[in-house]
Amino acid sequence: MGRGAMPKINPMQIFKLLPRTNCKICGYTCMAFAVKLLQREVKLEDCKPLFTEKKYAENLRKLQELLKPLFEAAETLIKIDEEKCIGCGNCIIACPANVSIDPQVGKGINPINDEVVFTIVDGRIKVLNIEKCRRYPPHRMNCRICEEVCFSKAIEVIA
Amino acid sequence: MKQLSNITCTGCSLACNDLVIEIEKNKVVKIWGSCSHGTKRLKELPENRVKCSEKDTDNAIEKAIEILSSARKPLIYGFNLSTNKSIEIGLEIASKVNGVFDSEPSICQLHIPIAKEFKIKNLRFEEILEKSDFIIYLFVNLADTHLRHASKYAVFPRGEYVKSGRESRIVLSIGYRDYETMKISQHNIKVNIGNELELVEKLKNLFINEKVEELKKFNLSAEASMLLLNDYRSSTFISSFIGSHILVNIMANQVYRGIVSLIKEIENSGKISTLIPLAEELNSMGAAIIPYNKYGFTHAIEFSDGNINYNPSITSGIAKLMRDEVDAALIVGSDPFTHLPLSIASKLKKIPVIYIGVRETLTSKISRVAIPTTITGVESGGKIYRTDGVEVELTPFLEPPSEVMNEEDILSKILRGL
Repeated sequence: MGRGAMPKINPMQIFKLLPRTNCKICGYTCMAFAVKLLQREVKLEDCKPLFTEKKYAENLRKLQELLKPLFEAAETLIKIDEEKCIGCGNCIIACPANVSIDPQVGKGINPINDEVVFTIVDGRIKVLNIEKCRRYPPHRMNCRICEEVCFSKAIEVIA
Repeated sequence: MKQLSNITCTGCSLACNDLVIEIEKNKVVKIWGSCSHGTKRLKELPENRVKCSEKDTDNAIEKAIEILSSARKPLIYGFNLSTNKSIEIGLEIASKVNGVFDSEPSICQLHIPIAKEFKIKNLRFEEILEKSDFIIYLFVNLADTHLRHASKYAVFPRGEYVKSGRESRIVLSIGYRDYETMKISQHNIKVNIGNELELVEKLKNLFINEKVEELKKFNLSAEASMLLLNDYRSSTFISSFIGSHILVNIMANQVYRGIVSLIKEIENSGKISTLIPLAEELNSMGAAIIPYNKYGFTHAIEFSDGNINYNPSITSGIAKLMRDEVDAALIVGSDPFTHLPLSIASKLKKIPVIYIGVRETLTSKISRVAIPTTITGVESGGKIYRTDGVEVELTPFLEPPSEVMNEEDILSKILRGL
């Protein structure tokens, strides 16, 4: 248990690749920008020097590569690969938000109402209401129970 | 389009009963709650259905009767996907024709007969869900075989005495490699083939005699042992589930005995303790329980003029085929030609084979008589045993193709004709 407690992309990794000049063109210091970037509150394009100055070209490429999965993920910073899902339902029953919406889930029964965060349809995970996930911004909680219990690595918390 | 709820899944022996399905034009279009195994069985109906080898089913049945009654020692084999009634009829056929009754537990699911023979107390999954606070998975990887076991019956659901579900339960997973089950368990022990018995002894030492020591062989430090003992001490209801991986050991029987004695000693120490074999296919459990209740043996039963002979190394289907001692075979819902070793499977080609099943398989191709049946639990109903020994009623929800009979009717017609 407790595997993967550290975020896979951390602000320090991003900060090291930023210009680190604290020019504040984007409105923040470079460290703050790195944190905001990870929370997807700003875009990489907001850092003007990174795109205009040639000496940062290599760093820009590395940053784009590093942040690719981040921008592919949902607002909750969770990436779900439906193809990998085997439909075990561990995430559905373990999810605290699901149980509070539909108490039947707490007894191990797969939810069929449209109110829950996600359910299993045709042997695969199906997200219904992503805004009810504990990780949904702005009041994001660092819950990662679904990733922890997933048998098939179909659920991946990016950051 | 109609929606049906509380459908029982027939994908594996867990028989999850909370499925909701949507049917359109006699086809399942959407299923809520089924895992990938169940979805495959309920939704993707076989395109390659076996064709009747004769003009119609009645003719095929007559030919089957002919083969069975002229045979000296026929093999009656299969029944993993059959209903309880089919298995009962299969036993009667075997007894009437002085044949050999065998099912898959004799080859690849030995944990079922053995757990039954040792008369381990079986508790229902529902009771485990409500009360069990310590779960042991022995040599089973849930992600391969019983996908919903943890989420529906054991680890995650919140129970009467285990209010927070997974947080209130301790899970110990024992296996040969990195099982996915180990992702959801607090204590993991990996064991090399051949060391299982030693591990069982060490666990007995730890749990019963409270002897904490470092187990280098099993990569378990003294701290981890202490932690495991503490968790064990604070629990009251220990449920163990045993899978089929253990068969890789040639000493499987001895290891089972060791495990059973561990479970019994835990029970004697004042805790509730149970051992449930996790059967793999829909009614593997029934194929073992029904012969056991009737004759005292779970598989490899040889009938000869009212007497019963049980000695798996001589009377099992494999042994009989190997020694050319059977001269006909009735295969029900199984595909032995695919999963038996080639040298033994090829013996099936030399004898007349009657195949009763849904889809076309290698066995159906080599059979002299092939009789198509409906899909149990989808197109025809009946009762089966869930892997914890509870009888479950299946209700059909699709119309079977015309002229296709269900297995029970075919088998009882054969029995009547003998």
